[in-house]
Amino acid sequence: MPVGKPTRERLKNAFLQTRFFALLWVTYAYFYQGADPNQLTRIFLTQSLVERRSLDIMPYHGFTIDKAELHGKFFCDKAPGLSFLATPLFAIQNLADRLFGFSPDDLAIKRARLHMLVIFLCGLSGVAATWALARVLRTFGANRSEEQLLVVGYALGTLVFPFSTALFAHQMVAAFLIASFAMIRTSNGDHGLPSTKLLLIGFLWGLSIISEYPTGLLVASLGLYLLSLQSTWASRARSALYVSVGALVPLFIHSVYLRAAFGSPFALPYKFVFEPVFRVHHEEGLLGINPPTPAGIFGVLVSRYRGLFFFCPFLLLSFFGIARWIREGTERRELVLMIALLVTYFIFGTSYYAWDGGGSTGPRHMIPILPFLVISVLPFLRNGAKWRFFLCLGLVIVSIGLMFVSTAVLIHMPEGEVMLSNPIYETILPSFFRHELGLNTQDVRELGFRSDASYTLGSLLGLKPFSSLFVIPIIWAFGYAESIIGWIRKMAVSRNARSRLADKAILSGAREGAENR
Amino acid sequence: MKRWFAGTVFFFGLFLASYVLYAHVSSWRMALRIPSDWSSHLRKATLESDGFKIFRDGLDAWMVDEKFVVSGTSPRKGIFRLYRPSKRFDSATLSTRFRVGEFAAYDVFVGFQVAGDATRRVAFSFSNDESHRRFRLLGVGANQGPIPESDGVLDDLETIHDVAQTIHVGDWHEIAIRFDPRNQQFEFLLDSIPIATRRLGWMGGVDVEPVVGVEERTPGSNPHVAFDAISFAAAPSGPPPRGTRFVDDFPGSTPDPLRWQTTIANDWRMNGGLAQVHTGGGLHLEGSAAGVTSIGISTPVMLCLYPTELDPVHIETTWDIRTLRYAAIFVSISNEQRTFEVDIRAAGDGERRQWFFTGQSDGSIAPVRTEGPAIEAEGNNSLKLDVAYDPWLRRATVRSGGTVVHQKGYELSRKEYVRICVGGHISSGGAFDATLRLVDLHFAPY
Repeated sequence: MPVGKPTRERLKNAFLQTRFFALLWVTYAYFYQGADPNQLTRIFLTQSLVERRSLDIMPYHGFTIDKAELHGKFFCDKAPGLSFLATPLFAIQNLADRLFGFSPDDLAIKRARLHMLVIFLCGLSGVAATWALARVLRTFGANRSEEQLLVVGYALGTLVFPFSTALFAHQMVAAFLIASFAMIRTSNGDHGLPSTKLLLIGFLWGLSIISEYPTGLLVASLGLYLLSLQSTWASRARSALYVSVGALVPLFIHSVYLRAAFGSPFALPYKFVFEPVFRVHHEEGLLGINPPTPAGIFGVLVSRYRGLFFFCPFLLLSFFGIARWIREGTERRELVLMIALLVTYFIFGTSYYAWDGGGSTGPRHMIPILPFLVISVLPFLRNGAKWRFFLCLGLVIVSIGLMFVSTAVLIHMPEGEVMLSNPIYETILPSFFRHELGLNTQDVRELGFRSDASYTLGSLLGLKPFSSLFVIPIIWAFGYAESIIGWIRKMAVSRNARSRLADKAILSGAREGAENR
Repeated sequence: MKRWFAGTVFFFGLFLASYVLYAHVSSWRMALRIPSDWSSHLRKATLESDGFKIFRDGLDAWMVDEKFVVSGTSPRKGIFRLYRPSKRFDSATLSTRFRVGEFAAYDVFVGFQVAGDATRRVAFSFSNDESHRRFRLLGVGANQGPIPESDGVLDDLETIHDVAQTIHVGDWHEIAIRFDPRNQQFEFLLDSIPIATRRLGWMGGVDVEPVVGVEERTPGSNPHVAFDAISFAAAPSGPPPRGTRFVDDFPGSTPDPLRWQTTIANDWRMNGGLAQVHTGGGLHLEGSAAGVTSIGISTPVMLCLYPTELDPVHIETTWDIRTLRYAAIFVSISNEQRTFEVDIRAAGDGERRQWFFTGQSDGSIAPVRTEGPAIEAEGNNSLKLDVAYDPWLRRATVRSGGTVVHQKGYELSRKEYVRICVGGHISSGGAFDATLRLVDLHFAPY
C-alpha cells in the first residue's frame, strides 16, 4: 500500500521527535564493557531465578567476589531489583538459544547475552531518564536551546554515559526517579494526579528502592514534595494511598525474596556479605554507612580520583544555578526539593565506606541525583546573558569528551589513593592516545583475564578499536544530516548576503566618493 | 490497555530480534578468530599458499638441500621474520625445528606478535654466539600499555644459561613457546622438555601473528640457520574431571599440558642454581641452590592443575625422595586469597625430615604455620602422602602410610576456585631431588 502524504509527514515528525533518543540509545549500545563482580552477581541471580527457580547463586558464585553467604549458600549481595527486571529478558534469551541452537557456554553467546541485557535495561534507562529530564526542564521554563544543551550534557557529559553501558542499577533508578518527578510536574496541579499515575509513581519508587536501597532517601523527599502539592488532607491521603499501593508490589516481592533467601523480610543482602574485607566494613555503622569523612567529601566532589565535578565539570554550574534560584525566589517548593535531594544524597555518598564505588568512573553512587543536579543548572542559564550559555556549552563539551574517552577506554577505573590517584590522566587518556580501548579484561563466567573482554560493536564487526570510535560521530552526523545541510546552506546564504551587503557598501562608498569629488 | 500490551509485545519482540542478530554476528566473528592447528615443512615455493607472510631486511631465505635456510649479510642488523595471519591469542604451542650453521651473534626465535605491530611481541630466542650462547626472552611484558625503552630483551633466562651450551653447530633442535591464558604464563621448551616458565602481562583474546625468524644482534654476523618445520597447536585446557578419579603416573616425556601447568624457576635467579622437571616413570623434580647464599625461600619447580571449584578432595601421592636439604617437597591447595599446604621438610643438612603445614586457620588472614611430627620414611626414602580436604567442614586431614599426622580446620571453603599443586621449595644452600611416582586424585562433589 502506498504511503500517503499525511502518513509520510507523521513518520517524518516521529523520526524528528525520536531521533535524538534513538541515536542516544545506539551510542550507549555501541560500547560493551565486559563483566565485573558487580554485574556478574546480579546476572547470576537472574540466571538462578530463570533456570533453577532458586534464589542462591551456588553454581556460578566462584566467578564473583560480590556475594552474600548464609547457611552455606551464596546469594547475590546486591539489591535485587535489577536482577528481577532482567528475568523476562533472560528467559527470552534462553528460549532463543534453544530455538536457534546457540550454546549458552559459548564465549560469544555469553557476551551477547550480557550486552543485550545492558542495552535493554541500562541503555534504555539512560534514554528514558534523558527524555524525562527534557520534559521536566520544559516545565521549568527552559527554552529550546537551554533544554537541548542540558539534555545533551546530562546524557553524554555525565556518569550517565558510562553507566548506561554496564549492568549497574544506578542509571535505572535515576530513570525511575526523574520519570516519576516528570509525571508529577506535568500533571494538572488543580485536579491532582490521576490514580493510575499515582500507582505508577509508587511502583517506580518501590522498584527504585529495591534496586538501590539508598534511593529510599530520595523517594522520601519526592514523596513529601508530592504531598506538599496537595491542598487538602483528603487529597494528600488519596495520593499517599495510591502511591503506597503502587510501591507495595515491588516491596512485597522483595520482602518475599529476603524472607526466602536470608530468613527475614528485613534482612538486607549487604548484611551477609561474604568477602572478609567487605564484611569488615559492612559491620561498621549502618551497613558500612558512617558519618561523612573528609576523604569522602573531597573524593566525591572534587578529587581527581573520583570527583564528580572533576569528571563532569559542567555540573559545577549547578551551584550558581541554585544561588540564582534562591535569589529569584521562584518555585520555592521545587528549590527546597532540589536542595533536599542533593544534600541528603551527598551525605549518603560521602558517608559510605566505598564512596569511590570501587573500580568506577567517578562516584557512581551519585548517579541517581544527576538529573536533579542538571535541573539546578537551568537557573544559571535562564534568561541570562549569552556568555552563560557559551560557558555552559564549553563545559558540556569538556564533560562529553571526558565521558566519551572514559566509556571507550575503561569505566572500571583503578582504585587508588584519593589525594594521589588521577585515573583520567594516568590511565585513561594515555591509553586513548595509544589507541588502546576496552581495557576491562574480565569476561563473563571466565577465569583469568582476556584482552577482548570488552569492545565496541564496530570492533566486533572487524574495525580496529580506535577507528571504530568514528562510527559514533558518523551516525550522529547521518541522523542530523538534514539539519547539518540546512545549517551549511544557511551559513552559505548569510555569507552571500554579507558579501552582497559588503559589495553594496563598497559601491555606495565609491559612489559617494565620486559625488564628493 | 491495548496500547500497553502492544508496546510490551513490541519491546520483547525487538529484544528477541536484536539478541538473535547479535548472537549470530558475535559467533561468526569469534569463529573467524579461533585458531586451528597447522604445521608446515617450509618449502619456499609453497610459503604463500601455506598462508605465510615474510618480513625481510638484509636477510633472506633459500632452499638448500631441501631445507629452508635463512642467511645473508647486511650493513644494518638483518631481520628475517616468517609469520602467519592473525588469530586470537589463546592456549597454544608454537614450535620450530632449527639448526645453526655457525656460532655468530644472532637470535633464532619463535613467538607471537600483536597483529600489525611487530614491536609488541613475545618470543623465545636462542641467542647464538661463540662464547655467550643462551636462551633469552625477547619482546615486551604485556600486550598493551606503554612500551618501555629497552634493547628488546625482556629476560635473560639466567636459570637455563647452561642448557644453551648443549646446542651445537649442525645439531637439529626444537624450540617451542607455550601460552596458558588462564594464568598468563609462558612455558619455554627445548626438544619438548619444559626448561623455563615466565608469568607475563600478556592476556588471551588479543589478535596475534605466530612468528619465527632470525635477527642479527650485530651487523654483519652473517647468520646461516636452517629451519625444518614450524607447527602450531591450539590446546584448550580445562580443569580435571570432577567426580571421577584422576590418576597420573607421568608416563610421557613431559607432563600432560592439558592437565598440568608447569612453573620452573619463576623469580628464582642465581648462578649455579638448578631447577628441573622431567617425566617418564614418574615426575622428577630437582632443585639446587648449592653455594648460593643470597636467596630466601624460593620455589624452583611447581606443577599445578588448572583452576577448579573446590569440592571435598583426596590427593594421594607416592614419593621417592632422594635428596632433601634445606628444602621441602609440597602438595598444596590454594588461590590468591587462601591456601593449605603440606610440606615434607628438611630444615638442615642431614636433619630428619619433618611434616610442616601452612594455611589460614581460625579466621586468620595471614597463613599460620604448624610443625608436625618427624617422618619415618618407608625404606628407600619412599612415602605415601594422602591429603584430604573437606571444604564443607573446612577441615584438612593428612595421612602418611595410613596414620593421621595432621588434622585441623582451615579457611578454604566450598566452591572456591583453587589450584592443586605439587613442587619443591628451597632455601639458601639447599637441594631437593624427588620423584612423584603417582598422583591419585578424586573429588567428591556434593
